[in-house]
Amino acid sequence: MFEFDRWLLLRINSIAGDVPLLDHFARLVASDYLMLALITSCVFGVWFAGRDSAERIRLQLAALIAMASIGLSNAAVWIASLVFERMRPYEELDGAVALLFYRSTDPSFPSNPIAVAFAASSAIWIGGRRMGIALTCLSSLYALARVYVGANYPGDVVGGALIGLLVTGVAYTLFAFGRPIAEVALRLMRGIAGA
Amino acid sequence: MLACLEGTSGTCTGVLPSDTGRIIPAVQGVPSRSNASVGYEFEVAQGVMTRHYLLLVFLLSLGALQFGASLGGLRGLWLLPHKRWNMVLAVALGIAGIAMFILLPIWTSGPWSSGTVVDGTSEGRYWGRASFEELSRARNLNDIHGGLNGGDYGAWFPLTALVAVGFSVVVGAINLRFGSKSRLEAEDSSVPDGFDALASMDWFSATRHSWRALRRTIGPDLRSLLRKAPGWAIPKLIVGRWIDV
Repeated sequence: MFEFDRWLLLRINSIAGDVPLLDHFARLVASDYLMLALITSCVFGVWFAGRDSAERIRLQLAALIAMASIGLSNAAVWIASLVFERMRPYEELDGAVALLFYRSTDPSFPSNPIAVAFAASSAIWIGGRRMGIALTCLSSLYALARVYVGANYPGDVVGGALIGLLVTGVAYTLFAFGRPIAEVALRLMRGIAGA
Repeated sequence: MLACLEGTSGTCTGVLPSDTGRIIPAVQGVPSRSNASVGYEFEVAQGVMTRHYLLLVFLLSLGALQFGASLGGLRGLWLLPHKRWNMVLAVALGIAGIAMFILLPIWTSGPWSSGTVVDGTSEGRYWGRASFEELSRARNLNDIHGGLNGGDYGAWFPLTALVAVGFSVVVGAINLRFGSKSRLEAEDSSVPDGFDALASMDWFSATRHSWRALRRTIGPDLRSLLRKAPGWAIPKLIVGRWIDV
């Protein structure tokens, strides 16, 4: 499996450096700042987007689940990185990888930003399919860019995405068993015109 | 020209271009995390990155808020009095945020001096402005070289989003008070509360109105929410023993 992971990374990364415009785009997308800020802003915007009370409550519950999932995904990635201390591709395959990114000092598996991005996207999918699809596409592009620039193995981003999906499932279950705590919180926020 | 920051140890590497490069002096008394691999003060670099990140998040979250508020019809939060124009403004704010974040290294000095931004590393950089070709790399900074870490993202994002809410509340109130003909009064008890109230009044009036509604209906509302919860929901299992729901 690790062999396939290395092979796939080298296939994707082999284009890096050939098309300057694609390299610039991939570097911007793979950045630690832009995509995560964009995805989190979309989660924030969803809070205000309901057209009627029912849709608003559904979207706001999804936004609350997204916030919980983002927190849980960071914790899950931290625990996973203690168990799997995988080296970064540029450390393991030094010279074979065209690195377009900085040399991170964190473990490679699982990819933390991808876990966060997929946790947020999948949670929003619960509230609204179209927005969920759009954010999942952004997250997938982010994952592909991280592999393209040589920052992660494909297995790292797939692992991150699975962790993101898993923690969203956990957060959703916690919210279901905790009903109606979230609804009460929303009712109280409505008292200050905050929901 | 080979340059090295005062107080750093080891061998300094990297070329400092004379036209754009500038090494900032070490600040007395400020603990420095500079080392041989960077030609600038860590704290100052992180300050620049934080300010630019705050600007990005403010514009992005303001754009997202305005887009959501336009879809939701929350006129009390709109920056512009017309829905369509407000949506256009929302998209423009998002694009402006991203564009500014990417382009700022051309005009602002930071740890991205032209000629020292090299692929695959955030080491060996000097203080200055980036060239156009280096823009996509300029922001790729490890947190040990002045970039932001996960904790910084987690702390700054919600605070900046709250500032965007505050900004929308104030501008939305001004808009509704001076720019709208159809404004309902908070005293009208037939008006729904919460965000629904923002469809016709500013946040300050909506909050007064919603608070009154909350005090009036909190008991029946909580009972109704508990009744709707499934039998296996933990709060219902606990509270249901004492309260008839």
